[in-house]
Amino acid sequence: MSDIKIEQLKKSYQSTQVIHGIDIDIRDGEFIVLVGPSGCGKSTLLRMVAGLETISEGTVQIDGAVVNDLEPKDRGIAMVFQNYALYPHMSVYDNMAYGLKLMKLPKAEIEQRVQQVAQLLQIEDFLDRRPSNLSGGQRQRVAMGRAIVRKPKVFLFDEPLSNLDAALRVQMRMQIKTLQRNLGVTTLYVTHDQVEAMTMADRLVVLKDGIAAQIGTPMEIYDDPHNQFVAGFIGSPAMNFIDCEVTEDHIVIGEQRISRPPHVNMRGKLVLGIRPEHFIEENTSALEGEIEMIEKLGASILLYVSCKNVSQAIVIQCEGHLNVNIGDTKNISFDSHKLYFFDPSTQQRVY
Amino acid sequence: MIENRPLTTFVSHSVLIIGVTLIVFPIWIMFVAATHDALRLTQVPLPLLPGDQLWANLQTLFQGKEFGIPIHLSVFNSLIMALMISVGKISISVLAAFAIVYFDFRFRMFFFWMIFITLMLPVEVRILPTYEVVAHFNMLDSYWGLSIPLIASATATFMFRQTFLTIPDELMEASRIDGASPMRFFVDVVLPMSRTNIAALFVILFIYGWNQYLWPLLITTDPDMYTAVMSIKQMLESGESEPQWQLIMLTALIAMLPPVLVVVFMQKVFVKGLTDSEK
Repeated sequence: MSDIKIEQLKKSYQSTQVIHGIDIDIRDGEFIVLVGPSGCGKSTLLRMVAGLETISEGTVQIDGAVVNDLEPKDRGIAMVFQNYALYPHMSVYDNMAYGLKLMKLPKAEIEQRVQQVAQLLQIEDFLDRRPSNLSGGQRQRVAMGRAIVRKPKVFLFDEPLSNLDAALRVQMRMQIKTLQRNLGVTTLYVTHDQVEAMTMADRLVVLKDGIAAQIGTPMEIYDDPHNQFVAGFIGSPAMNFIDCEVTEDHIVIGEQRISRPPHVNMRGKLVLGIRPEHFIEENTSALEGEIEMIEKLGASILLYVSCKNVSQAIVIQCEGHLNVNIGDTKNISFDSHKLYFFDPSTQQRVY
Repeated sequence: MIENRPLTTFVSHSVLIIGVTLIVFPIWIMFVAATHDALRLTQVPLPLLPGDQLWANLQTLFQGKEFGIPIHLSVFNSLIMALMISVGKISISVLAAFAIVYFDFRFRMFFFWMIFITLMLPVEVRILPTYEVVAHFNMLDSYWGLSIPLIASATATFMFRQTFLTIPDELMEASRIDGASPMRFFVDVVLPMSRTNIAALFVILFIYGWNQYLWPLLITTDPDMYTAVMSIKQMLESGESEPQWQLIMLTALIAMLPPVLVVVFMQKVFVKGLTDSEK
């Protein structure tokens, strides 16, 4: 159990820099999720903490000690890989015991530790099976067992759930979270799935192109995204972005005008952001559009509405039993307190 | 393809039977010849049924008076040579492939291609310079001389490289986190995961080593170092007298045995190693 301090961490491969100076302070026992689109450097960052990639610049501290030049085994970490990376020729027991054997622990202690963890993860029954005879979820649990049995200071997860089917993923998500809370081990978790990120994280690090775009609790990031990328990446379905111009009296979208809410005090050409769940039913409509596509999710219904002068269809989340058809005209109104405005050139949030 | 047509069955069976006959008949003749005495073999027609001289012929061979080396010694020589070649080839190429796949050193690809290019240099091509080198090392008439020049193997290195490339990188990383040094990883993970390949290669290389003819012929002058395969040829040329066909056939038969045994007993792993990869 320990804290991690990442300072000005940079990574370059020959001439290309992939991580551009990241600072994260991770408290003891915290569950941190690194999330971002593919190629944003989240796995590289994790692997640098693990010691599988060299650090070009900056420092990683675990428990107050700089670990830049330590071998992975000496950093007090354990890692769970996307494809589990179980040794195919060893039994489940040996897979879990391998690291302990290399630590030269006495046999009795290895036995005791493995049994204990196997019980915790409910894999006692197949300790002598080979990984190839296990289902995906079972392998996942063995991979976690191998990590836990080392009693590490830090858990590192590299997209551990992406090889599982949807139902199992939801189940494992909760198991990992519960387990982590019970063990109280500091955890770094990489995923590209923003739902996974939101549900599991104590704090999120949203990465984009090797930069930490925003760090905060899931709700902070949802409510208060610092820029257009974060706003669009976190939240499902994604936020709508509409080009507009804010004048003294109106928000102008193409030829349609909406009176300016008094608290919006920016002017000029901006990008208006609004989440699908923040549209409201009102008699006076702000925008008008034609329903292009309907997605029924049961509890709710998603309308894809194409409006004049708006390049992309606007996604609106409505109550599930709403009776609409494709081709209908839809009046759109939104909660004027839930609007976001972004500067189109810098993509930073201005309101 | 499961069909049940009498004609197809008939045709395929006949083809198989003809094939088997073509292969088995000469071996049968060999066996029959080995059981008669020299006199009977000079008479026409050749016998098709075994005679009663097998034991006597065996005794002659084991005494080895006529050809310089008793059969059990030449078979032993062959065995040592074949084992040294196959074990040597496998250990060197498995290490070379490990270095090439898992270590990032300068000129890595250069070395890989250097090894690969030696595919074009079998013993027959480099036989004179190789002889020169072996002679200078005083390795003529020794097991080292018989086996070392044949040990380097590009084929095996290449095969192991391909096998190692199919082992996911994450396994290496997982073992690093588990605290395994590179050689531990090699012994605990890489070797066990390629054991079927090793077994398959062992079969191929053992037979390759066993069947070596030209090289042993060239570097052995001491009859004590003769190998079984080359002693057959020596028997044919034993000068003034008639070739002792019954003894030659018996030697050939005995020389055939070890490779056959290796194939029979290792066939399962052999096929497994060449076809599936349990990853």
